[in-house]
Amino acid sequence: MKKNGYMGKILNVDLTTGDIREEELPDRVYEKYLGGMGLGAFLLYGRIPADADPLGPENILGFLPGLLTGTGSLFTGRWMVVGKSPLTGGWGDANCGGNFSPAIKRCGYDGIFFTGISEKPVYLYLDDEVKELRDASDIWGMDAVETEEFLERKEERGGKMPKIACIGPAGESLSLISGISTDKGRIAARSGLGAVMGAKRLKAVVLAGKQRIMAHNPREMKRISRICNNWVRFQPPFVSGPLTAFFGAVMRLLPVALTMDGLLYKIMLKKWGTVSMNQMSPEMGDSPIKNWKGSSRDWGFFKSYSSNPDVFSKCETVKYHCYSCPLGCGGICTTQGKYDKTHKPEYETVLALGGFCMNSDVDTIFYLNELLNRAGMDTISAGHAVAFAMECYEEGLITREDTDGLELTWGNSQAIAALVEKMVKRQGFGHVLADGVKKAVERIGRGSEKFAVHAGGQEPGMHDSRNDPGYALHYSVEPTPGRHTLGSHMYYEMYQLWKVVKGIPKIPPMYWKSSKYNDTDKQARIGAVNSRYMTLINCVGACMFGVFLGARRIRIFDWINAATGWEWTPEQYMEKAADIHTLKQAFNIRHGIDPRQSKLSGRALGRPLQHEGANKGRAIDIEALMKGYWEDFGWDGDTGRPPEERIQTITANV
Amino acid sequence: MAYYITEACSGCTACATVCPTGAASGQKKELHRIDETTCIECDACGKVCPEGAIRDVSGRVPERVKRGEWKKPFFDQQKCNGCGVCPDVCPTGCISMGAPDRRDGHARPRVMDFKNCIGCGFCAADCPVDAIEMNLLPVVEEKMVKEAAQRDKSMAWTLKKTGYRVFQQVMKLATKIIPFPIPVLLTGPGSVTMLAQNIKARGIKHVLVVTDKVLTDLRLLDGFLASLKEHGVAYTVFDDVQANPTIENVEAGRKIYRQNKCRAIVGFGGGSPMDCAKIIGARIRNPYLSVRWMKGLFRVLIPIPPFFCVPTTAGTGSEATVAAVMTDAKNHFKFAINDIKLVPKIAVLDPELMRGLPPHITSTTGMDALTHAVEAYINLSGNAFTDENAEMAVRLIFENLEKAYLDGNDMDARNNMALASFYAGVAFTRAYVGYVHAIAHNMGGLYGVPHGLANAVILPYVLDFSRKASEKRLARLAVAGGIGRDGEPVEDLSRRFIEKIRTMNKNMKIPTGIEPLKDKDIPLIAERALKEAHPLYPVPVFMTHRACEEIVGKLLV
Repeated sequence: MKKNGYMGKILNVDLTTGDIREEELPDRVYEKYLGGMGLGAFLLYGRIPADADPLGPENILGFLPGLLTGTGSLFTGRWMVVGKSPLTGGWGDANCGGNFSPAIKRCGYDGIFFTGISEKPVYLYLDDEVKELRDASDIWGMDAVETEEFLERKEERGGKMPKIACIGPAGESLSLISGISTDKGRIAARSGLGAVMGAKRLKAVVLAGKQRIMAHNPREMKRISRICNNWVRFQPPFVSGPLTAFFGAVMRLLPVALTMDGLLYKIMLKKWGTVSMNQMSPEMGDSPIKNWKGSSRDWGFFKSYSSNPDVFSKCETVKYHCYSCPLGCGGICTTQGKYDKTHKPEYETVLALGGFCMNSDVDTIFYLNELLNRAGMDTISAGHAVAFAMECYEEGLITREDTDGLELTWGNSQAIAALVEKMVKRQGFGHVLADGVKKAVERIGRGSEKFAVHAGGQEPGMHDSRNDPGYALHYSVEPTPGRHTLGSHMYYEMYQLWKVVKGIPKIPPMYWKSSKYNDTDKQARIGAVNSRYMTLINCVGACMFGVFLGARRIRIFDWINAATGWEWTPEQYMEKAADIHTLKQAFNIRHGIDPRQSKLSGRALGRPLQHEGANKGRAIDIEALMKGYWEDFGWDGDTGRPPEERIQTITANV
Repeated sequence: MAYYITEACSGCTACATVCPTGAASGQKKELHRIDETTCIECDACGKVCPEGAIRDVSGRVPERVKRGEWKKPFFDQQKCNGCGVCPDVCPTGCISMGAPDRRDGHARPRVMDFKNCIGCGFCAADCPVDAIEMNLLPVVEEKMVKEAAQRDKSMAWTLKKTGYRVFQQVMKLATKIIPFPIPVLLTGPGSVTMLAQNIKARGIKHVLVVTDKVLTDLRLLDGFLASLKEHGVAYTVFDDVQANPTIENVEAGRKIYRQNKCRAIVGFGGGSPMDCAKIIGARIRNPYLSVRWMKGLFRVLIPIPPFFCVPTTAGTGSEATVAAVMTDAKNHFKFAINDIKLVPKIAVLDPELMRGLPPHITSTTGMDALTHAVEAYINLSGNAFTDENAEMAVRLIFENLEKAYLDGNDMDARNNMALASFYAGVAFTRAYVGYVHAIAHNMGGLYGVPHGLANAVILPYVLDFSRKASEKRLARLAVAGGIGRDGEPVEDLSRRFIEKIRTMNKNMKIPTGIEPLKDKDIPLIAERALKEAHPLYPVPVFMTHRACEEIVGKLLV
């Protein structure tokens, strides 16, 4: 049993031959790549050949826990799934909470990697003694919740439930916007890695190990955890749900911005979860409306009122915590109709299926949330696809004959529900949209590309890049484009990294809003720091919402040192993170991705300019931002290519 | 690094049985071994090995500890943030997340069954906020009780409790003012034949006898009907009453009463026929009031026709009470109609009618009567009159119930049990019942558990809960019941009293749990039970939702 946070082994499963092989990794790999996403980037960079088909046998699908998972730290229960993305054709990773992350470590591994393609559907069963692929023919076709319930019943040993990650029908039918589900509705949804799992005919991963995860210095781990916990416990009473819209409106109307403190956001998260942003976000201009065409004017207070945070807390029966999370922003809600309960929809889901399609019927959102969770489909991408179809319908590119008789007008909740059902089953018009908007454009043609908003194939998250240039940058420039979870100006304010890491830009307590748009050099620098920090966070398996507390309150760097016994400074960790980030970019280059091509679609960058609403007249100079960002990492400023010798130094000596 | 086994192993399989990961294994009477990759160093094998053959990671012999002295986790709910680390690290899976806390909605961990816990302490070691401490089981249990009490000291709860007490005081005052009638008693073997005489003396020509099919099939009514005939009183038998009488039953009975121009009603049987008869009477005189409307207190406006009760079980006490319990078949909702006009004119306690009662019904109905007496006695709305009745009932039940259970033909015992049931009825109709009934009603509503059985099972658990608050009262009951003497310490007496109930249950083969109870229903049962009990029942100490869940949780089999 290792006593430094990681287990020192990974498991390689060849699905073609059925061969299951352990592989020991030397300590220096961990010292260089930490774990989680870093470990995945290192292994996949070396092992996936350049021309591999993402849905073919050569692609590798890896499940990785974070370095800090299970070591006594808080907010560190997230697991990563990595592989070559069929959606973007480059580096793919997706990140999910739940209780699956420690289960990987409890089986004794820092990662489980699948290659090959199985002849028939299988699932992997692991416990302390048994490691085998088992037949999954009878569960192939079940939805994610049914699969989990079935496997829990089948594989329960001595009262302890196994932990399961599985795909639903969307992954089985190789939908490029499908994800991998765990805990009956938490999904690692982005990058379309569910389709990779479906292509490998791997239905589920069932983990029932009981090994211990030991930290190097448990006492120190607890000391740091207590500091963090005290901040999380601080929970003054907060205003009613609809009043959050008022705060949003004030933030929109002021010409200056106050630096956001994560503690305030934490209070809202603890009270409502991410749905606390349902009304606040559209008011302050942070939410894209009507397929990025609309503005805060189109989705005013009375339209968003039906999805105000209190609606969700009223039907919440119990709060849901991911592993080692003291906050519990999730919840289990009761719903009316076909399903009796669902995970509390996240803000992204509510907006993607609500304001983004101009739909104010919250019952449909609950229903579709559970439907998509069960199918294992990304709600953000599904919302994008539906809104895209609606705009095509409005512009007359498609007619009722194309849509199988569905009246795809804005806000038609019944049509939205029917269309998503079709997408999940890949029936009729649903097939056109089931692989995301980029594929839909190819299938529809007729000049529909001007209505499709994506970045390199990935639909961006529900945060308006015109409101915060940070989002625009990260949507465009990351190796995994289109992600709202990697950085923005507001995230940087909340991370408060300058209090811990030397030599990075500091944000004053108050600044003119326009400064965000003018000072591109600083924005690019901030973006690069964000990327480094989030790469580190994804290596250690931490949760973004926890990290929002601020670097002084949640001491990730101290935790890593206490867990592993290393004695490195924050700056050194940020440098390691930069290396890992470079490796991901190198992966993309190697697989033929041109970094310039994953630029976000024009509409989301303020091209053309909006004439009303919160983001009126705002445009992002994305080219300058991207150049600055690449140069900060030491890559080529014009092409975004990391220098060859840099990649060699990163991959050498391990 | 792992534990290992030396040659001293005798192959007793103790380590293999207790090992949570299956690392320790081997054939019986052969040397066992520990697989070092799967050993998690939980020390369970070391604690059980009788030969001292286990060595820990540093080569030492782990200390052998008796199972009763294994330390168990205590979860400090104040510190715990519900992060879910402990259920994940627990190698035996005995820790699970409990019901959501009513205040903040977060679920926190609990140990469902301390028997499965091997005391490895991993949960305490891995808890990021040190909310878990390991201790001996009695200490843990005591801490849990203390903690629950501490948690309930919120302002809102205090205000609520005050409100409940004010309501109960008003009700107590009302009880003093309202003249509760007491039925005339006809007791002794064969007394049922005297009822006909009394009916005739009142000049009644035709009676409606409300009973159920079982009793007519057993021909239990024959003697009574013959005596009616003898005295020239015409009768009509209505035997369509279900086990839990419904509104439809009442309407059918009312129709028959009308058709035959009856002038009085006799409720003949257990609780169901008697209650049904009461409501038939109420509906006859109050045709414009629906049964549902009469739910609650004092809503039977016009007095019912002459009404007589002949109980054939000793337990429900319906022959003495103001209440009648009805079931709404539409939503399976049980409700009570309470009015002093529902008290019968005459109650006949004829032990001969109870001769054929099967032992399991004798025992559970008897315990039902005991529950009535005990709850009425420890409740705060009692007075000297109810106390006297309850004490008499308890004495009679302690002395006679087991006799009647063992020998159904013991007429003395049967007679005394019938009396006890009546006295208990007189007591509880004035002083109310408590949480035992509140929980038992829901067991009946959800799973159809017989009321008496549910009462008998739940009674000791609820008494354990309220023992501290009602120590003196329980001690006095113990003295009245003849299991102690005045002057002994009240704590001993009260404990002995609860112990006596447990022994009686055991002797009469009443289980210690409710078989159909499901884990997932516990919060619902607790919620409904507390809704029923608050504010009406003047219980000695109030129960919070969590405490109620804990008590109901103990009833799991």
